[in-house]
Amino acid sequence: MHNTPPSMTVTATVNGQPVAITVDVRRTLLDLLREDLGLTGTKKGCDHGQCGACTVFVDGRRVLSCLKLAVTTSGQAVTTVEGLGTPDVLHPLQEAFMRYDAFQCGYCTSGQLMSALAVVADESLTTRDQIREAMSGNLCRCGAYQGIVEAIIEVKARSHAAGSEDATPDAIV
Amino acid sequence: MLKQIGIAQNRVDGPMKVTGEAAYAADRRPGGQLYALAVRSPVAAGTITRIETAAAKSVAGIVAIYTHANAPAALDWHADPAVMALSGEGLGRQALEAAEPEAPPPYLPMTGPDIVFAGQWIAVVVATSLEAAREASLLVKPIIEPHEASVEIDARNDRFLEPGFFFAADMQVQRGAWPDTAAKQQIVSETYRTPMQNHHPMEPSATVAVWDGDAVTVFDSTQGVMATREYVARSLKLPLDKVRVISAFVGGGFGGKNQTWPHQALAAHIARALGRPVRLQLTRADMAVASGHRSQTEQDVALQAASDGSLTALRHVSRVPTSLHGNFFEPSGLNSLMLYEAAALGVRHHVVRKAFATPTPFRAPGETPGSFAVESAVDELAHALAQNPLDLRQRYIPSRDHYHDRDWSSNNLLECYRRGAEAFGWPEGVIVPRARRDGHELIGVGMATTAYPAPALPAIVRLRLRVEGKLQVETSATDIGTGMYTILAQTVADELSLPVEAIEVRLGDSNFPHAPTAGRSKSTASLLPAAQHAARALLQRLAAAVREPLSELSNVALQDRLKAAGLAELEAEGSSTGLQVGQQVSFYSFGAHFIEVRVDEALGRVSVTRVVSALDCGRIVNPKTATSQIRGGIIFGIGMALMEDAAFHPTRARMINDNLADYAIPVNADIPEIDVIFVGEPDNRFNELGVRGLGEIGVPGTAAAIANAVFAATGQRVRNLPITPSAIVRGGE
Repeated sequence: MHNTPPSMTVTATVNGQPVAITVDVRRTLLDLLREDLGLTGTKKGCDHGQCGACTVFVDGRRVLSCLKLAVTTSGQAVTTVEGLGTPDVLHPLQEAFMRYDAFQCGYCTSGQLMSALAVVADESLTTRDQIREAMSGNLCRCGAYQGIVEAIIEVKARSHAAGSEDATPDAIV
Repeated sequence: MLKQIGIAQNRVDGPMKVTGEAAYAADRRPGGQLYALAVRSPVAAGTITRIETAAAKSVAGIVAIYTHANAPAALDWHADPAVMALSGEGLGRQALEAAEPEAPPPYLPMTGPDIVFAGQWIAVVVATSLEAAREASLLVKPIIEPHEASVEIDARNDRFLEPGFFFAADMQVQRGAWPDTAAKQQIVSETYRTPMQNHHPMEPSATVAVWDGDAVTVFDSTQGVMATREYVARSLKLPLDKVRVISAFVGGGFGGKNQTWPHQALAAHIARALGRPVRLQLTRADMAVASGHRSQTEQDVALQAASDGSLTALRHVSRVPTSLHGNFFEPSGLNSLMLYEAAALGVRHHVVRKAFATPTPFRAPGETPGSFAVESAVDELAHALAQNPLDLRQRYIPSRDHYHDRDWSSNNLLECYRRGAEAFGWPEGVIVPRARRDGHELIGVGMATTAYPAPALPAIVRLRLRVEGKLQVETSATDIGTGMYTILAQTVADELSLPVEAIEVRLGDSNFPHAPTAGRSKSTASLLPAAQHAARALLQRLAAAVREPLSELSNVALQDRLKAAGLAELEAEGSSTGLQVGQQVSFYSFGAHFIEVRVDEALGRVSVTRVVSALDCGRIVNPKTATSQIRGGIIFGIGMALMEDAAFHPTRARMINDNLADYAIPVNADIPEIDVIFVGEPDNRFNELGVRGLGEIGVPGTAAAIANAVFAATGQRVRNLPITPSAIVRGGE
């Protein structure tokens, strides 16, 4: 007996674009992004909210997309790494990640960048130790942690000097 | 002239990685793709009586369920010993052959009813969606008659095998007679234990198989596309040219993707049977059992020294497990043979079969656990002799490779000690434990030596100069985060006097020229000489085409010359030969770690607060990526020292922490700033550029330096890793 699983339509904004898509209610936001929308920049590292590789922004906050059912995203605005910048027009954080070699294999990088975006925007995080703590939900097995912290410190300093909008994309604010 | 080599160039693949455009194996989405997911055995030993699949088959979207009952016939899926020998199960077989002439039957999941380790795949479900596959996998019900299983090493009662040669070294070395325990001799004799570790690269291994007629393309996450192609082709009974393996980006490997594992072939077998593309991505729990691990070790180390510290005897006996069916074991004694000269030398390995999944190389296999034991013992000896550990190690600098009776091509270990100690501010004189305190924390410093071989294997690099577009560099080598894309671009740029931006490096495709698997720190010295030769061959071919001598080409745009010759493109290949058999000197890299820890005895908390590592790895091609590699290695050592420990249920022999919440790896807050110093002396007897690989050398020695620092801080010698809070608190009682 084959029972078709329940489905629902998700209506959301992803990287500034309106999305309306009918999905299996068990589908996670991570799988919606990757399998339905082809936004494979967001990675699956554990599927259990333990590694941070799937971090995206939802309504301006960092969220583990593997722990969020896609259907709970209706009416929300999602930003993924694809919404940050392109190889030709990099976001300041992406550019700083390159300069400080804040990645090696690159698999955790999208999640690190999205988390870093939140840490840059959070004015209560000012010291190196605070930044390390706030980035500790994003595992990096290659061990690029030092570069990640350096990149965040630099972008924080620059965005502070230039006004805080400079370092955050329009979709996030 | 070297303009690019030696420059801290940003990764050329960086823009792809920071924008999410880099496509890893599971990011490929061929049309009509099916999703495969494994069902794991909950018991460690037993016989499958039957597997109930009716409920699973009723799930909407389920396409197929394979178990040992139908997989052999439906998928042409068999444990062919010749194929198994190519896989991770076969590595080490030659070493064990001397002790165990008859190999145990090869293991391949879903080829029989026997369960040989917990987590073994007993079924694979295939569905049109991830959700359907997940639901069905939970409904597959195996009926298993369980047997007794053991994962405990019992030094007294277990039956140990004595392997022969492994990693080009005798695993049973005995030279000279153990000296009489005369007066005025200092002796350290202790047992050290290191934990089982999981590689856990951030990218779970994944294979996407897409058939086109009688040929298959396999998008895979592997450190070696050529080895994977051979394994998959032999498994499918296909000629090599019918299998293409693509692994352009790999989300970390660390050895877990160095060998080939069943899923890589299985995805292709299922895709062939079902006539649709199949993605098989391992879950995080699978990653703990289905692609190898570093086994635990028990090591007895005995050192004997004269009162001035000169070493008279060294004994290093390892007891290490392998699986019931595989062959790999940790060759823990390798660095003892290479680094320490003693008139009496005994380095032995005893291997025991236990109900584990098969272990496999993990970043500096052998050297890493072995260095923890021996570098801890040397520190204990220094304290027993009332000498500074650095002074004692300077005495022990190996003047040559005594084990192989060869000179070193180049050895700057003394310079590593000198520059590392200076940058760190290493104290002089005897180090008195518990002498430094800051509030509620004790502070201690420790150091250790690291060393790693510098191998090289034959490789081929192809260049393609085109009238339009970037100059292309192609080889089947993979960049698993090492920086291979970047250092190949730098090398070719220097040879052709081009900027790095004018070069496009293409890697990780078995249709590209042959390169060895990325592992054992061999890729730099294998690939860069081939790239140099390819660039020179290209210039010669261009000179011949335009009928002009080479010297006049140097300042002329290559593309203009190509146009002048009336050619659209021009290709050239270059090769390297790797290390020759019967080499006259030994090629090794050396280094020293200096580490400060703070220990809160009330909480049992150990924090690594400062690390300075000085390394002799030949000429450094790219200080930026090289520094990252070393830092990453050191962080693996920190994880090993303080937290990593694959734990087993005491009676069920099943891993209880096969996930990233319970198996702790270092996070950002665990890691201090790590200062990496390269001595940078080119090793020109090794190759023209004087470059050596450096993917592993950061790991050995790090855990010992931390344990030695914990001793300096607390007076407590921890010989069992990881150094947990409970170990510290117990010792403080």
